[in-house]
Amino acid sequence: MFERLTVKKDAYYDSVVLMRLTQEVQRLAGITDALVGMATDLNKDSARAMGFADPELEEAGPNDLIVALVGEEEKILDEAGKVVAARLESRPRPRTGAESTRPEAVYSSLSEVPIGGGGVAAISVPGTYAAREARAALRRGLHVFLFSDNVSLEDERVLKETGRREGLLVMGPDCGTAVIGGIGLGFANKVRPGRIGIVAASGTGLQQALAVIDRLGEGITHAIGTGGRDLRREIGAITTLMGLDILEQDEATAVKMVISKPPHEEVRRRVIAALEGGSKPSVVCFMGEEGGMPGAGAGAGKVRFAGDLEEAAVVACSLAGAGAGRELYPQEEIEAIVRGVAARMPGAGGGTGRVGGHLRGLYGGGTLCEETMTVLARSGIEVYSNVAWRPELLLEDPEMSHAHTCIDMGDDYFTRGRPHPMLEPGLRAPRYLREARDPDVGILLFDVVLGYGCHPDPAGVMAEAVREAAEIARRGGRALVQIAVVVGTSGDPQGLAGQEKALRDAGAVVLSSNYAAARLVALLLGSGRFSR
Amino acid sequence: MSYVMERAMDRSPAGGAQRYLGAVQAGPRFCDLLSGVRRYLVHSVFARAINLWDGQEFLTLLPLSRGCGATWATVAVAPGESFLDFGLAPGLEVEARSGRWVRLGPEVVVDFGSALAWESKLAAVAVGDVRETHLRALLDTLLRAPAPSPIRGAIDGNGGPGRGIVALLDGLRASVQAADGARLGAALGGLVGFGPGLTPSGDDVVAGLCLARAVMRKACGKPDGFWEDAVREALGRTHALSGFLVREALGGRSHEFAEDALYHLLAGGPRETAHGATRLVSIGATSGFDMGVGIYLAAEWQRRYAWCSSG
Repeated sequence: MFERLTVKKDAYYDSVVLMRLTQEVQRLAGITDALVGMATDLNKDSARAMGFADPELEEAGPNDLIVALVGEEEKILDEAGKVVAARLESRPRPRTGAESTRPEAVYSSLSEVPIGGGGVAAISVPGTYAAREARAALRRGLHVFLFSDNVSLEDERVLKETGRREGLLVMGPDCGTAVIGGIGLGFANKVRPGRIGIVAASGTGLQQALAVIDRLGEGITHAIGTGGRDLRREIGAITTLMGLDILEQDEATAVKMVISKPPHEEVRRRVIAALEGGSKPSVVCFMGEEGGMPGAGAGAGKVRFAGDLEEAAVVACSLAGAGAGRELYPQEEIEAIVRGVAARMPGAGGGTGRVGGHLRGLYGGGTLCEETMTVLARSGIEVYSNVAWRPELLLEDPEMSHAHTCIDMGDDYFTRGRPHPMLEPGLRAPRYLREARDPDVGILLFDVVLGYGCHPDPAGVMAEAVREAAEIARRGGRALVQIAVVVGTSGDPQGLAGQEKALRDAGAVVLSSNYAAARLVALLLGSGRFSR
Repeated sequence: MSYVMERAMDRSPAGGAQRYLGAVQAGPRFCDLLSGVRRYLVHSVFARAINLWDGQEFLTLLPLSRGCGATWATVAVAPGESFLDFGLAPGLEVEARSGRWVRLGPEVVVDFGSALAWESKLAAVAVGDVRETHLRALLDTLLRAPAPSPIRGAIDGNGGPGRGIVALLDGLRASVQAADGARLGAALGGLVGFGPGLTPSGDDVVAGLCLARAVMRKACGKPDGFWEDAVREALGRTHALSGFLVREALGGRSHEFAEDALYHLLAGGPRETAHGATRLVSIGATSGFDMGVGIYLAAEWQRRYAWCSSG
């Protein structure tokens, strides 16, 4: 076997190009292994695993390109090297002037975009290069949708300040979802046009709000993502405030909504002041803070505070004149579900429907995972997690659940070198079935997120796991309640009704609100206390 | 997050579809593939099954709900997904990496990193007398199954077009009892390879007989006898995959649903036996049914004639 390592200094290429090139080279006859990628720690580890131990590899940094080839003959490595060189030298063909003037034009490279051309640049390159690409986009007069993570806080601040000077939004970094003028970016749901405008620092949090809004018959004007750190003191809510200003000026927007983790106190005051200073009513969901439904003294003036995503969406719809302003699932309905569980599983809590076993929640959406932990904590139920905010509840090993546990399987620990569960929901199945086998487990909870960019049939995949888990419980002679939260809209490409039916047919309790699912869990675990 | 977007982009029509499948459960023989000890090729691809082979032994990937086994693994895919759409073709080299990933072709990677280990229940089964109640439960389930198998006449007593097969099966029983090698060879010759499909009905019923016999003999410490030798000799009459499955059955290994049905027949209750048999008959058009008939006959013959202990 022959090996060859080439390091190209200061050579940066789009990771999509490199991933495809690696696949192409791996397919060449006589090549047994190949890696073409930037010399990040992860890629250097992979090269070492292939057997490379060159000093050149150790010295290479994330700005360098490595080409590691293993083949049966020297000449095969020569041929593969030529393929790599040819592909890396080729550049996308610039579009013609006629094409580039079309307002709906889509470009694959910033170099093709006319300066000052307007529009949004969606950037998904590795974090190391993302700031550079975002700067280039801003120079060309483009708003930025920055899907990439691993961008430094300092770079984020500089980018957002530059954007603010130029009147351009920087949505991100680590921005999973946005819907601008009906066009979805990242993982986005299909939502009807309406009167609610949203600024959100959470991707799946935004998707949950969109799902509830859609269910209540309302729609949105824009949903502007900000990235998860925008309301930190270092960033000062630059994008959030710009977004609120856009929504204030937008005639179609009647109600504004803000979704975020609890912000820094000073930042919080500025955001609330901006909302109070505007002309439109608004709803704020700082997840983890106390909220309350309208009329319950939650908020004063133009700003209402919501304690969870469902409440935020319900209140916004109510302010826009849609929906009844009540919980999506009233308490009686949750109790009816518990009675249904008791009828189906006589073993559960001696016929009360209460479950003696532990909860195991496996989430693809990090915000939904955190919301469940918050709701259960308010009900006096402590939940361990890989993303717990209390150190004593942080799992020592994310692979090993303990007592009541909720796992964010979209966390870096689980997605290093693997797709996110929103793309391949089946990657959760082994863990799901491992939890189902645990005789101490009584409730399995998971989310299914729909929308563009997500798996084409996530419920179908998980329904198989639900059936298998039910069979495991049946064989073990124990009650196992399986709860699915389906986050999606009626317009989503996967088909909301069909997705819900697939899970229901498999034996899962299906809810469209994560908050309602958490309340259900609390009841099943024997806690009747709910306070928003 | 950038990896997510890359994947999202790669899923676009322009980017082509690359599939990254999570293996949910895998039998112990997948260690040979993952460790690189044996080199496998794609042997055959069906809508709901991918067979790999190394020239002698086979490994099979199935969707999660289709059961596992020593030489099987399950992967999580949606019910509407077909493996035929994954760009796989016979002869593609299967590449294992880091003891965790398996690349089946240019567009499909299977991640075994989190796969649960499949364990056979039969390894520790305590075999007592075969109970009539359990046999009845198995037989009733088989009789209710709508499988259009030519072997059906062996259990419903109607004869019909399967009359010749019934005679051959009777020959298997009698020849072992009488230690008549020539008659056994002739009966096996009429069964092995009989029927259409990747695993012919004749092979499946012989596999069921072999599985039940192997487990019952192992339980009482009996080594292989002339039945086992005769079956091995007859396997040249069928094709490689089916022959491999019968050889596995001779070693007391089979698909999870067959093993479970036998386990409950020998060590469970009648209700579990019926449930296990229901899952067994769901395999293929007739394969599960035919194996169920083999298991039933072996157990019934053991009860009446100590057939598994003979030969």
